[in-house]
Amino acid sequence: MKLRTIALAGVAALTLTGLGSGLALAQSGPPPVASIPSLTGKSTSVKLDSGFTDALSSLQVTPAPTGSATVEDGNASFPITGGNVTVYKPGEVTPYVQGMIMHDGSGLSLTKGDTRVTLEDFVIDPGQPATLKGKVSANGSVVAESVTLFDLDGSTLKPITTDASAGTATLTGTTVKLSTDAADALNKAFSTDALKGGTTVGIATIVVNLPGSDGGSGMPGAMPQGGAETGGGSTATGGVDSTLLAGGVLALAVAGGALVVVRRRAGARG
Amino acid sequence: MASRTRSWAVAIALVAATGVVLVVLGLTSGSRAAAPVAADARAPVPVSATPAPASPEASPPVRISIPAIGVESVVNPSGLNPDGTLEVSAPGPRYDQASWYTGSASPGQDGPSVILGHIDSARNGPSVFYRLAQLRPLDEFIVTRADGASLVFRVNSVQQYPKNAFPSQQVYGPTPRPEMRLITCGGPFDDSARSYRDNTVVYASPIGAPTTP
Repeated sequence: MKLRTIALAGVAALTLTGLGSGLALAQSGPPPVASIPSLTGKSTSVKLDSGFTDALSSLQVTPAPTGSATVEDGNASFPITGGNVTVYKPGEVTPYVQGMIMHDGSGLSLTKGDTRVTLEDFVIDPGQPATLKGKVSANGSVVAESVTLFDLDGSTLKPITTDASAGTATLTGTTVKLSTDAADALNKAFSTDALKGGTTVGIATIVVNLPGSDGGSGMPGAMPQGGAETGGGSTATGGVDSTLLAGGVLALAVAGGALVVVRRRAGARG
Repeated sequence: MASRTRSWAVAIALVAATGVVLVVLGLTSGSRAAAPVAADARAPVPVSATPAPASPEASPPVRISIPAIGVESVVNPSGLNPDGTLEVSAPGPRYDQASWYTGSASPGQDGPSVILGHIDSARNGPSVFYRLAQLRPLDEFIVTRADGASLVFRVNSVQQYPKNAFPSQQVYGPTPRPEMRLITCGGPFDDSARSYRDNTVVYASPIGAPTTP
């Protein structure tokens, strides 16, 4: 009877192993609400906080757009030039906005007297922590190619909205805060200690083109169908299914154990 | 008593045989995957940083350089197979070189331009786009055209799609500006079909005006 129990346990373990394997294969992350692998335009704008602009005014620092950026009615706007974005249902994946949003050729200058600090080529990374990085120049000389200028607080982000007629998707509500490093660098540049890391700069609104929404140019020739057969497999690695292997070893162990017990019993009787 | 012992022997033999079968299957039937995608934290590799969209006259690409993954390759023209899929380099001297689909946009012109390359061969190991999946957003690469103009492209994203659910419209469809798609194989290798199950697609857009010699 004991042996029968062992055998049944072995078979049950194998069954469970097989089930586990099936579950593992079926598992995948939740699907995104939207995914744009190649951003083709629109903008990130920041409604500048009066506390931040007042602080700059009190320091006699004048902000101004550079390149293709604009500043109108307290809104600084930077055209999106590339990147990607994937949005999940809030709560299903953290962070639920992922990707990278690039803004080449635009930025902000901060000028006081003969000192002009330029923050350009912003890259938004909504990861953890969410940041906005950029290139920093002082009086025309590059000080740093990529430093964290602003910290982004996504806890105030509102759900994504889409406008089918405009062909856009909008994410609004991210709070933009001056990073400690940027505050230190600006204080040093303008000989002050008035700027503090964590100061709210404003609230960001990101508007992106939805794929295929604005026509665009197709290929001159026929559009290919499907993917491409671009491999022969000589570098493919792996080939061992650890679940099946573990199940097999378990079965052999059960069989071996049972065999030993049977032989001992047979020996005891003989 | 003898029949009972025989029953146990049969049960043990069955479990042992199952174990042998599973071990053999486990060692041989697992999915073989494409070259591992590095999750390294290396900084993006820039080759230029002068922003400005380009829109030159049509001219086919003749060379591609991707410093981040060590690619330096001639680019040959290629067409479509009878079934409408992209034609790839056949075994021979051009197998390990990149190819450009002649029906796609010239690099730098509005619309998607498509350059593809093998990840490996059946017997001879890595090929030109073996490390394509290791590219990251912000990496840059250079495409040189037959007219001598060079364009710098910046990676927007790297995606992996199952071949049986390939988003053709998303990859090859119209774009409002110049775009580049680099394509190779990826994912698990299906030994029975002698084919990788996925494709890796790199989405990129040009930065900077084309430079001419």
